[in-house]
Amino acid sequence: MKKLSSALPKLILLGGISLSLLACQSSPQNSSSSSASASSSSSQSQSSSQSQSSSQSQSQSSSQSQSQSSSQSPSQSQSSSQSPSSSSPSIPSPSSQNSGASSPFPSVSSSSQRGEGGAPSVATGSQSESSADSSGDSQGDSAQSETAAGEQSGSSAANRDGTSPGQDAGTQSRYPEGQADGNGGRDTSTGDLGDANSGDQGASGGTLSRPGGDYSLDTLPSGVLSGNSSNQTTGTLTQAERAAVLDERLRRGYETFDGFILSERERAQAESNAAGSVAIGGAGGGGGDAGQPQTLPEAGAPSGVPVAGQPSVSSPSQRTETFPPPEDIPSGRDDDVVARQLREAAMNEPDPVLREALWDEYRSYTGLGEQQ
Amino acid sequence: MKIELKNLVGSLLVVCFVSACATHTVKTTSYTPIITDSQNVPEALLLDVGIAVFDPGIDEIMRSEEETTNHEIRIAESRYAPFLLAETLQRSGNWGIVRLMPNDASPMDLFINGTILQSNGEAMSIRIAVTDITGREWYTKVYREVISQFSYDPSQRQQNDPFQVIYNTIANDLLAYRKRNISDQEIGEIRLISELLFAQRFSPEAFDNYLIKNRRGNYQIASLPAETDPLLQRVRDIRERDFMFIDTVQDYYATYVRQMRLPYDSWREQSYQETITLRELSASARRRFIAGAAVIVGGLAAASGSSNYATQTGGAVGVGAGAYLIKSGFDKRAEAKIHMEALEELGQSLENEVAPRVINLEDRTITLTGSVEEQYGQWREILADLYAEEIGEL
Repeated sequence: MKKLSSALPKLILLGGISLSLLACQSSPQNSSSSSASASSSSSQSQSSSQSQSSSQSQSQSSSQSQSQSSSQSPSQSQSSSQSPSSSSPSIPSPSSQNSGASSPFPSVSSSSQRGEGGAPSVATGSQSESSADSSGDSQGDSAQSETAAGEQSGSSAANRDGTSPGQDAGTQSRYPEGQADGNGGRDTSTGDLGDANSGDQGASGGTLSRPGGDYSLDTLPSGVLSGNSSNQTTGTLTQAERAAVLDERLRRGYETFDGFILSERERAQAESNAAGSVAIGGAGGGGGDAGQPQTLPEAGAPSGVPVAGQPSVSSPSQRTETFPPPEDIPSGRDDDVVARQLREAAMNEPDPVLREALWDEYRSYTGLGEQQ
Repeated sequence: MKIELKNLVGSLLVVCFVSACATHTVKTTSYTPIITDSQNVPEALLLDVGIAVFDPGIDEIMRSEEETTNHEIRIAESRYAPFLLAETLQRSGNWGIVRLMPNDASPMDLFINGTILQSNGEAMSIRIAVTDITGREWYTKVYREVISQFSYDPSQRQQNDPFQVIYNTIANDLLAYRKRNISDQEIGEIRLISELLFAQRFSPEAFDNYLIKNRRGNYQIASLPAETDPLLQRVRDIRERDFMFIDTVQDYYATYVRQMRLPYDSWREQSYQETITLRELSASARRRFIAGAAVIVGGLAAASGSSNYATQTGGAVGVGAGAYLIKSGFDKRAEAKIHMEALEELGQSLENEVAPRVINLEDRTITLTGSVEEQYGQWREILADLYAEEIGEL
């Protein structure tokens, strides 16, 4: 009897351990199903998800230190990634769910598919943490909120997960699972640099990748954020995709810059022409030819071209005269710099033969000739 | 003995008198045309030239010209003259793009710095220093041109700037130096270095290692990026935009020059007349002072050194004549003073005309530069991220 009474606590303890182990194994399944419901609900109400994700980040800000420590999770996940294969089923579920449902985040599914290779290890890490205790949840959540704060994709991931209404502790415990997709995707994108080094990068990459995430939220163009829904899922972007986003941003910068500079040049040239005509009228002309370089050049002269052969300044009316484009020429609103310069040159060219040649050049440059 | 002394004094006076009269001014009436390189230079071997806004040279104004030199006009000229030089070089066809640079941020193959040493409508003196982007100094030379009234003739004025010869000479010297001292290979290197320096400006982390400095502190190419390097392509795209920005500033300068041209030419022509008159009056006054002093000395010597009444009388008359000469010298000086004041008034009038234009030019240039630099800053960040993406640091 005494033996029984002494063994009872041990049995209870063992039972508790086994229960907890069972709980560990069951939680991924629950989380995968719950994440499915979460994402489906997110497609219904995004606004609520935003508010939720923000509230999460508030609640998780209290566990900042934990979330900092959770940056170690990649290394943990590496060690645990070999054992539980149960985590891997949880990865395809969001993607299949995304592809199955009429997903508003098409790029998420694709990127999450790309991220599968690297996601499992991360997911297992977060799962093991989330199942360990409730603080694991908060860690995972805080990691999520950090992602949301640091990265546009994180916000979209938060949207998906955060839209599950009426979250309780159980649903919150599933966030890391859903978040594992987002994190997994993001870590995967950094992990793409080299799987062999992913663990090391994860350890130091916690600091390396975070500035990148912070940067992308701060500096991604508003057009990317608002205009293109496919770009809203940067959390799972691969390297190439991120480079493409940056290139796109660069290109938009070019367009803005070109528009700004061209309008400024137009204004400056108009002023220059006006000043020139006034000066010429007052000074009795400032004409010249190639051998008399004193004459001020045509302000609208293309850059980098010697202006020796240009008409003299004494004929300003010729210069200000513009000729309408042919009928087959579109408005040119989407023209790039070269096309605009060609258009401008053609419209200002008084010689009809040269003008037509310039329009031909414009057509071939813009691809109009090929279309016709 | 006395006779020898008198002869000595007399000869000294004559020498002084003659030397005072012997002020020669060589004026140019011939026109130096621009020399165009006879060889058909490939475009890849044309150096792009950047001309900095000239130093107005206010610290180097000669003491004799301090009163007649208007600082504001000098500052206005320091933006006017380099524009004309840029136009001249561009028209020569011997160079790539030639631009008056708003700042020294954009690397160009060749840089020309100038200092205006003198400009009064009659004479112009500019010190020109030429360096290439590697840091090698080509040469420094002072160009001076004194023009004749003919240059202000309406028929001539219609064709040429009165001091066009000075710009043509600079352009010809530059071409001669390049042909004599710079090989095609060096030109290619210079162009590469300027491109790499521009790339460094936007993506230092990617392009810093391509250039090194030798013992003289000049840039040398250590290695070259791949021609297909996407980052290099992006930098080239940005450089095109930078040229557009510089071209826009050229339009500002063109406007400024056109606005300034009429009042400035008018000022130069009047200043030319006044300067000549002032110089003649000053020389005349100086001659009269010298002659008067000489006559007084001679008269005193004659009056005191001779017992002859006639000689003494002649000496006294000489002293009187000398005194009169000196007085007329003062009169001439007073007249010169009037012309000096007229010059100052002319300068003040032009200053009122051009100073607001200079301020406007500076304002617009600075504003545009600020906007462009802001955009450049964003591009730098993007390029840094792209570089990190491409080398896989993230």
